[in-house]
Formats: sequence, structure tokens, C-alpha cells
Amino acid sequence: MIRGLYTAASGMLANERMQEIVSNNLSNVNTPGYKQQDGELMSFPEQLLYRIQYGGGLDVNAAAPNAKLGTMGTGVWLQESLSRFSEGMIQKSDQPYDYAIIDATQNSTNGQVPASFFAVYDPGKAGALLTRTGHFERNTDNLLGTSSGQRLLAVDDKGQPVVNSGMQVQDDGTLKAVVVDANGKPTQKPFVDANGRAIQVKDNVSVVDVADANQLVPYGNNGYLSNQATLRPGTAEVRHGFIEGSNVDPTQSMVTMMNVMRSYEANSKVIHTVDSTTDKAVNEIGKVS
Amino acid sequence: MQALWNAASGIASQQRKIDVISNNVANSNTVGYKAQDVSFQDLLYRQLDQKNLEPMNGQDPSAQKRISPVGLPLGSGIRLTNLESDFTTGSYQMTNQPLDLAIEGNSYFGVLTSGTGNGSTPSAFTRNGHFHIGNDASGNSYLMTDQGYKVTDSNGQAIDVTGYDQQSIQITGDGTLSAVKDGNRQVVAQVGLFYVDHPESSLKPAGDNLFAYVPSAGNTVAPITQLYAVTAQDKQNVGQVHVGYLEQSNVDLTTQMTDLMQAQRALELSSKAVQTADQMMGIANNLRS
Repeated sequence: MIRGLYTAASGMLANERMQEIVSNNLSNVNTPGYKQQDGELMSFPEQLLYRIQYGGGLDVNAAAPNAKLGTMGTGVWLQESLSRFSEGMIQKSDQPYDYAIIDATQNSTNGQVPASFFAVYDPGKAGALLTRTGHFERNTDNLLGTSSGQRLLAVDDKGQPVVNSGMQVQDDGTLKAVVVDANGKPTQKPFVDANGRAIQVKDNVSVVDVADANQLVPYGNNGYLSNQATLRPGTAEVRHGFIEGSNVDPTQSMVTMMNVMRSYEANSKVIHTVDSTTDKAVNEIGKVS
Repeated sequence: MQALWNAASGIASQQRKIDVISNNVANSNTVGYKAQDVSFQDLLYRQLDQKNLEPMNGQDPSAQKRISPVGLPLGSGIRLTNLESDFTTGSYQMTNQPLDLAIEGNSYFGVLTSGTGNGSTPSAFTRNGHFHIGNDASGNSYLMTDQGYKVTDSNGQAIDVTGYDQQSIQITGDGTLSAVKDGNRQVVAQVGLFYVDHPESSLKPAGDNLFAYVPSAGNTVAPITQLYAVTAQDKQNVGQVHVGYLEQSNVDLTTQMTDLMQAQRALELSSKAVQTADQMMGIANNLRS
């Protein structure tokens, strides 16, 4: 059929996905620790066009080979949705267990973006989940966790989060890292690694660094999934009594939304035109009245 | 269209936040009221499968290269995770009434919602110390709250002052209530002060300025170990009573107003996203009219 129809349809689909991303950003404009997602559009691989000449055929070594006309694009697609890890607005908070991550100066080497995160434990995923939201609450065992119940993990001296740990609020108000059992209850056991050797664990709320933040996949509940092997000791400062807000830029999101809307409309106009061209070809050419 | 649902979740969540803020503002003058706040998190992401497109022959290899893992994570919006009360102390107002009490410290008055007490810990608590002497259906006089609930002593019994000269009732700084009977001043009871462990997770607002004690699910700790009545020895730890004062609401109108403006603008942004998604669906419907 007519190639233009599918090209325009791909444009509409890509804009629809883009609108999904923008409206997700806008509904999270008030969520602490949320990072804005940017959709990246990429054009489809291009096709090479040849003009067939008399006597040429498709053999490029013939005496009069076909003339190469050039390349033609075949559409657009939304290739990836990148989370933007810039710092959100730091606000003072009156809640007793609010922490904000103040990023160290970003050293971007090899195009990689380092970023620091809190490590929490989600029962649905093995290993640590990373989050920037520093709003924690005490549960009935005095362990700190996020507002949906994910336990805050302690970080050892090598910068790795300890999955069977928790941060417990002591009677005098200070924090202490404790080992928890399979049900999430705190125990008095000492910290040991897989070989049984004792490890040192920090007793304050610590962060871990990720070498390349673009490899993180958003999971929901303000968390990101990462490959545990890429975690490094945290370099950012953690400040108690502050909370990091969402980094969504509402102005830019509104402009993107207007852009997406008009681009969607323009693509639909192309489909209308292709449709009426096909209509002429099918119904009117060669019509004997 | 998923964009519509993302934006709709944004509107619903910001609406809840505005509901909570307006409740706080309405109660900004209520004695003993504790401000409430909501927490947000983003919803789970769905992962769309993608092919990792390789550059074709003759194309620049870096042109199509992506920097995030293969797959497109698309968000679903926002949700409310928790509604928490802020248990910081409000300011004190001097009233000079002999039966007005204000607690300094981390404890609560015990209140009976029915009956006269059977010696166990009460099921409801309050910080509202505006008491009066009232009669219940049986004709006996008790120390009551504004709404007619009986205040308990340290053992969870209602404080019965039938037969005493009610004009002579006095309460001292450790909660001892004394009155004159037949010309002699006698100690009647000790107004109970109860220390509640984890008020943010075990006390839920129940209306009438009361907080209901909610033992948490899965936790087998008995109420006796979590609450204990204050004796003369440990009143230094958990507070004392000021006679002739009332504790005002801890709502800070400035922060409530700025939160309200922020939530209102976030709601407007989400509603714009709903309108845009609606227009896009209209365009798609008119493709073949």
C-alpha cells in the first residue's frame, strides 16, 4: 500500500507514547524524589531508493547501473525514556525522619552520569531497590521505611547495601544498623558476609552511588532497579530535616505537551491526505461515467 | 489511551491532598488537634519490549545507539500511600479555668467511649484537656470531655465525683484531683496520663478530638507493654500537666496555604494533560470520518 500511511501512523503512535510520558511527569509534579522522564524519538532506519534504468537491472556492475536516488525515512519511534537525574528542590521539613540527598558536583566522564540513592528493600524484588525519596517513617519495630513499607537498608564500609539489614531508632533517638530475619523483624545478630566474616556497617543513613544512572529502570513506588554489581560508595551528602522535591519542570512539560498535540494533529492530516489520494486512485481513475 | 489515566490519577491524588489541607485549616482553632499530611509515590511502570535496532550498512554506527537498557518503561501515574498525623505539640493558651489541663510531654489523657472502665487501659486518647463535671445517664457525676466522654484515671477507671462539692474541685500539676466532702479536702483520683509508643502508627484520629488506639496487624505486643500509666516516679520522662492552660492546634496556616497553592497548581497541570489526551483521542476518532 501507500508507504506514507504507515509513516504517519508511526508518528502518531510515537506522539501517543510521548504524551503518556509527559502526563506521568505532570501527575508526579508534587511527588518527593520523582525524576522527570524524557522520551527520545529516533527515526526508523532509512531505505535506499534506486531508479531502475533501461538496460541496467539490479546489477551494480553493469554498464548502466541503476541510479541511486538517496535514502528515504520510514517513520519515527520512541526509542527510550530516560530519567533525568538532576537535583529536585530541597525543602525544609518538619517530619522527624526526612532526609535529602545533596549531590556532589556531577563528574560526568565518558558520558556517564553518577548519582546517589538511598537503598531500600522491596519484598517483590530480590536485592536492593534505589530511591531518591528521603521521607521515612518508623514502623512498629522501630525500623525506618518508606511510606509504602519498604525497609531502609544499611550500607557497609565498601559501599554495598546489606539486604538483611534495617535501621532501627533507639530509645535515645539515634539510629543503629541491625540485622533482620526473614520476616523483617530486628535481631541482635552481628553483621557477617557470605563467608561468615564480620563486616563493618555504618550506623547513619547512607547513600550508594551508581556508576551510570542511565542503566537504572524505574520500578514504581519511587524506586529504581539496578544491577547490584554497579553500586559504589556514596559521595553525596545526606541532610536530615530536609526533603528533595520532584524535579519536573512544569513549563517545559506543558510546551512539550503542546508540541506533541500539534504533531499528532499534523500526522493525522497526512493520513487524511493519503486516504483521499488512495480514494482517488481507487474510485476515480479510469472511471467511465 | 494510557495518558488519560495517568493524568486522571494525578487529579485524584491532588484532590485528596486538598481535602486533607482543608480539614487542617478548618481545625486550625480546635484544641488538641494534630495536623495531617499525605505521602505520594508513583505507580508501577510497565515495560514495553523493544528490539535494539542495529545500524544498517553505510549508516553511522553511533546514530541509533541507545544509552539505557533495552525496553521502554512507561509510568502509570501517582498514588497516595499514607495519611499521617503530625504529633508535635501545639502552643499553650492560658485560660485560668481550674479544669483546663494541658500536657507538656509525650503523653495523652485516657478517655472512655462507653461504660465506666473495667481497669484495663482505655481504647481512646486525647490531648484536648478542656474538661468539665457532668452527669451521665445514671445520675453520677464524672470528669468529662466536651463531648461527654469520661476521662480515666491511671487505672483506666472513670473519675467519679458524686457527692463532692463540685465548686471545690482542684487538679494539681501531677494530675491529682482533690475535692471537698463534708468539709474535708480529700484526694479523689489521679487523672491518667498514658505514654503511647509510636503515636504515628498506633493512634488514628477518631473524631470528637479523640485518637483511637490501633494495635498493629501482625504485631503480638500486648497493650500493657506499649502503654503504661505515669506514676509519680516516671512523670519526669513523659510529661506533666499544666492547670489552667489548653494546648492549641498544631496547624501552621502558612505552610498549609503554600501546600494548598502547590496542590492546586499541580491539579491544574494534570487537568490540562487530561484535556490534551482527550483532544488527541478526538483526532484519532476523526481519522476516518
